[in-house]
Amino acid sequence: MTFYILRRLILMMVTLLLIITATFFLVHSLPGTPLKNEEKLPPEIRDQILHEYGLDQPLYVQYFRFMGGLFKADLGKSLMYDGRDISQMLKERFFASAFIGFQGILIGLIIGGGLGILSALYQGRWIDNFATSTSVLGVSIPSFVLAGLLSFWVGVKWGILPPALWGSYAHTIMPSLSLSVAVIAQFSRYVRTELVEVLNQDYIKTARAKGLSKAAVIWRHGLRNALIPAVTVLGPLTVNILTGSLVVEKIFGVPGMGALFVDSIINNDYTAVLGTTIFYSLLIMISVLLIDILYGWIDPRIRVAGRRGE
Amino acid sequence: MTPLLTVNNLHVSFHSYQGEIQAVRGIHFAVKPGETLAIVGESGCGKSVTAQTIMRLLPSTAKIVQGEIRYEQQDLTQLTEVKMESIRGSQIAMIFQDPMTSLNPTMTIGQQLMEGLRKHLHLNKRLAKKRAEELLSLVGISNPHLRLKQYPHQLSGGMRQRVMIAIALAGDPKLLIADEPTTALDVTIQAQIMELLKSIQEKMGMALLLITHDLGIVAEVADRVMVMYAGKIVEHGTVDELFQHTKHPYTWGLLRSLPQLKQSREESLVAIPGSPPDLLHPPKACPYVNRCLQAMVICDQTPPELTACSSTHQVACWLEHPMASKEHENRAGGDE
Ligand SMILES: Nc1ncnc2c1ncn2[C@@H]1O[C@H](COP(=O)(O)OP(=O)(O)O)[C@@H](O)[C@H]1O
Ligand SMILES: [Mg+2]
Repeated sequence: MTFYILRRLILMMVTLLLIITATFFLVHSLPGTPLKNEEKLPPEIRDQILHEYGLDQPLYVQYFRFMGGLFKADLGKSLMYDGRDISQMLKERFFASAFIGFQGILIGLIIGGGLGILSALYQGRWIDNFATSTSVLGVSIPSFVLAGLLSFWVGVKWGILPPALWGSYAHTIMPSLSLSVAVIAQFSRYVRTELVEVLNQDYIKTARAKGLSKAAVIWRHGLRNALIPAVTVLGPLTVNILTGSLVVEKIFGVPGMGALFVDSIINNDYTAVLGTTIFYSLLIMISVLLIDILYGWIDPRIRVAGRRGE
Repeated sequence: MTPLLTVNNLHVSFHSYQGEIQAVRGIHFAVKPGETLAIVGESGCGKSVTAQTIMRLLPSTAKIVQGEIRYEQQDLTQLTEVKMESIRGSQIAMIFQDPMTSLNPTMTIGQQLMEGLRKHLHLNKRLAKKRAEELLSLVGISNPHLRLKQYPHQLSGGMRQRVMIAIALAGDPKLLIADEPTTALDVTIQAQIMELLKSIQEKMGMALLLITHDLGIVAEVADRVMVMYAGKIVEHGTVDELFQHTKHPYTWGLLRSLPQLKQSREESLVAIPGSPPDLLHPPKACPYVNRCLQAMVICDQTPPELTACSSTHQVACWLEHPMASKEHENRAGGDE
């Protein structure tokens, strides 16, 4: 197991290196420069600023400098926010994103899981049909459309929740809800399919033949086996939340990583784009690794096989 | 001796898009305490449905159309689900055909074994564990302490079927229903499992309702046999009666499809030609008429009633009618 994790970590490093390199050259090939009002600046001031940030150097020199900084855990300084430390900014903004993200996933898993279980247990009844239509809607409506609608109706028209900005807990609800819809839609379908399949297995009949109550059979024998494969969709769902958050944060004015990422691309803030990319890549890779480990931990077939393989 | 279980005029149907599938069409039988009753018949004749009906484990598309299942003083068809749960596992237990899929892959053997113990015997964890080890030893599994902590995939097919038997025994049932318990196993293992079932039955004094299509097993372990065809009982009697005084042409067909010791290699097994009727539209008359070599005119017109030829032997065939020609009795001698 330790060997397996080590191998995965090394692989992650290589992947990250490739991502950083690709992103580095891609952002630098974007049209425009990080400077605002470039035309109005006197050439000598312009050169001085570029020199200060090392942007006058040849690209490969900049690349090696940046990579050198990375090994010292230095992500460089932001170009649009007056030379602030990227690492510092990420730290400040991480909390907001993480909060609405986790809350979104949590809402999604609870509601989606619940709907999925109910539709599996009451196949073809109204609750099943309701869940099916909800998830079709949820999958087909992009989260930013929903975010816009929520912000307008719940926030502006009815005034139930603050339409945007950040400050109190109430501000986190609508962003999380907008993010959770896609999770609800996908996870409920997934749980339904898995649970229906599991409940048709022979071992469910064995459990019933022991005289266990229906509830005990579903809970102990059904759900656990249905949820094991469902763990694998947590990875894609996390990615889903992350990409959704880019736009949703922008719409609700959440001071998070997503908003920073979008702004930094628009402003050609090379270092900020790279910083957020590194951060997102790490986040995704680590969550996928954790999910794989979790999967092996819940499923004894994998767990034991892994141990024996050592 | 009063029977432990009595099934009276049981009809079970499935609802499908094409209509009503009449899987079981009016069967009667009784199981006495401690005896072994075998149900034989080709695949699809309603053996498993009968077993599942007794356990009340039918899928939701199935319905008990009529009939009663008497167990001790109660009619199982009328019991509430909660009442039924207290009977399953503790009064009547069941083991299934495929041990590879009948155990939960994500729970240890111990967990699966202790569930029944805790539910029916109300044992605490420590006692349940002790009893679980005893049960594993009883079904011939060595190292029970270690096995309790293992998962099904770490056990062979034969071992898993032993575990299934141990699970079924957990509630100390009076009747064990075994639905083709050896069909999915290796031939060498089959005999071991049957021997085990037999010895445990004697030790615990329980009745066994054994479903199989293997007449060899029937001859070895059963006291009485019931032959089913297209959802009905066609012949019913003691093992001796069925093997030595075979009455129904279908039973004959089954016996002739058995491999024989003196059979030479070139002689292939004689499977009964043709196939059973469609249970969506079951025939009004004798269901076997299309495949029967001795069919008479009446066989295609009026269904034969199950009639007694001795106090223990019954058969549903027009050939048993006093007016039928007795020519077939000679054929029963075995020479072609
Ligand atoms: N789930 C089901 N849905 C519809 N029909 C079924 C179902 N299970 C069994 N049947 C019907 O019931 C008949 C008897 O099945 P079964 O008792 O399983 O046969 P066997 O004697 O091989 O155990 C079959 O011919 C089949 O048509
Ligand atoms: Mg069957």
